[in-house]
Amino acid sequence: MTAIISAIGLSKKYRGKQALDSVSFTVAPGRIVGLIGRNGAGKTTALKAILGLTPYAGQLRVLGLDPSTQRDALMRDVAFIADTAVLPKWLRVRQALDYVEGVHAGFQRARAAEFLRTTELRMDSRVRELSKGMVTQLHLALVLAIRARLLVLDEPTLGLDLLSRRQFYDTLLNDYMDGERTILVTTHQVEEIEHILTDVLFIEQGRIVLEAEVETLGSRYQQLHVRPDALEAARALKPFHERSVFGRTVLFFENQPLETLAALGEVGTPGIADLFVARLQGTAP
Amino acid sequence: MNTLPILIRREFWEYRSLWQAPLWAAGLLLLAILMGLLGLARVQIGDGASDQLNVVGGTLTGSVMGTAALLMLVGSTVIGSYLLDCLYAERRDRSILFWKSLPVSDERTVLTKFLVALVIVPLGVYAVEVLTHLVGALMLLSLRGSWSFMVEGWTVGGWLRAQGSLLGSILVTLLWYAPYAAYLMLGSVYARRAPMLTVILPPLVLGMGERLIFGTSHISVFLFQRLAPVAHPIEGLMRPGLWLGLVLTAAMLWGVVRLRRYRDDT
Repeated sequence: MTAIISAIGLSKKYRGKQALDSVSFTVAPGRIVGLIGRNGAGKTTALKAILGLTPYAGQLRVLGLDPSTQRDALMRDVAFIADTAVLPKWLRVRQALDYVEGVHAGFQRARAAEFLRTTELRMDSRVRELSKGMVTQLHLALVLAIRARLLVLDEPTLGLDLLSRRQFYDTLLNDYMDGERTILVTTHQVEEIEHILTDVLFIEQGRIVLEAEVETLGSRYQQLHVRPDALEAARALKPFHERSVFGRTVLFFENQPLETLAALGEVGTPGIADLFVARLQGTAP
Repeated sequence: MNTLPILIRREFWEYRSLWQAPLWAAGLLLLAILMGLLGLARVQIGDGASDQLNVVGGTLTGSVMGTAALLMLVGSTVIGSYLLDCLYAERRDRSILFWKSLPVSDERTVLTKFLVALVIVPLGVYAVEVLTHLVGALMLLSLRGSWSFMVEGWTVGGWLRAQGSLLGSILVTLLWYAPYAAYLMLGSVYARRAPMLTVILPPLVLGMGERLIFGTSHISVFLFQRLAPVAHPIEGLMRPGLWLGLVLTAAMLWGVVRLRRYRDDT
C-alpha cells in the first residue's frame, strides 16, 4: 500500500529557529494518527508543510503529490480543520454550503444538510451568532460531506467545552472513518484522543521522538508500580522515566521482560499521555 | 467545474457595501430629485427664474455626467476600501485557513477579486447610473408642463450618445486605473497591520525624499496627475502610459499571487 504521507528529511527554519529538524515519517492509509507535542514543538509547522501552506526543505509527498507545487490538486482530496475560529464571522450557513458546493466537485450537499438537521444550526444563521461548538459542527458538516481521502485536524477542539469536544470526535469516528480514509490530528490534550488513535508521532523541538502504532506500545513499553522494598532493584533495570504518585513510585521501561518486572511490583501498559510525558522529561533525577 | 460565479458571489457576501452603497446613493439621488420637483413645483416659476435654473441645473442630457460623477465617486470609494481590505481581512480573521482548505488557487482568488473591483462593480455602478438617470428623466418628463426648460433639446439619440460616450470613458479609465487597483491589492496582501498606511507610506516617502534631495516634486505631481480620469477614450488608448500601466499591473498581480501563497500570520 502506498503511503498517504511520506516525509523524508523534512526541515523548516522559522524566524531563526529550527521548527522542523530533518523529520522523517510515514502515514499509511486508514490510520488515525496523532501528532503529539507541546506548544511550539513543530506540530503546526509540520501540518502547514503537508498542506502546502509554508515552504520547506526536504522531501514530502502527500497522496503522491508535492504540496509545494501541486497544492491545488492536493486540496481536492484533503480536508482541513484548524481550530474553531477560521470560518469568517459574516458567513451564513447557507452561504457556506453554496460556496463549498461551488468550488469543490466532491462536495455532497445533501449529506451536509442532513448532518446539519441533527444540530441547532439554521440555514440563515451567521457564524458570528453561533457558539464555538456550533461553528465546529458547521465546519465538520462541510468536511464530512467532502469525502476527502485525508483529513488534517489542527487542535480542532481548542476552546470547546467538554460536551462539544466529545461530540466532535464521536461524529468523526462514526461518520467519517470508513477504513480507507486517514486522519492526521494534532493536539496537546493527549488524553482526549488517546482512545481513537491508531498511531502516534511524538514531536519535540522539531524532531520526531517516537513513531509507533498504538497496538505495539503495550509490548514495547511497560509501566511498573514498584514495591517500596524493590525500588533499588527496579532502578537498576534502567527505567527511562520515574515519577511518584501518592507516595508510590511508577517506573517506565522499554523492552523489559514482563516476568522480571512482575517480581518487583504491579506491571501495566502506560497510557499515551503518560508515555508522552515520560518521553519528554526523560529520566527523572 | 466553473468556479467563477460562486467566487464572485462570495465577494459580494463579504463586502455588501459593493452593491449596497451605489444603490443607496442612487435611491437618495432620486429622492432628492423628487423632493426638488415637488418643492419647486409649488413655487410659480417665472420665465426669468427658469433661465437661472437652467444655468444652475444644466439640461437633462448634460446631467448624465452629474449623476454619473456622484455614483462613480461612491463606487470608487467602496472599490478602494474593498481592494485594501480583501487580502488583509482574511488573514486578520484567520479565515484564510478555511479558504485555503478548498481547491481554489491563489491565482483564481486574486484574479477574481481584481475582476470584481475593476470590471464587475464599475459596470454595475454604470448600470445603476443609467437606470437612475432614466427614472429621473421620466420623473422630469412627467411634469413637462412647467419644466419644459429642463427637457428642452432632449432627444433619445442625444441621451444614448451621452451614455455611450460615458461608457467609453469609464472603460478606458478602468484600464488607466488598473495599476492603482493592483497596487492597493499589493498593500492588502503585504500588510501585517494597517494596510492603509502600507499603501500611503511608499509614495509619501518617495515624494518627500525627492523633495529633500533634489528640491523637486516630480513624483508627487506625476502620481496626482495620473489620478485624473480619462475623458476621451480614443485619446486615452493612445497614451503609452496606459499600456505601461497595464504591464505594471500584471507584474504587481503576479506579486500579489506570490505573496498570498505563503503569507502567514495565523
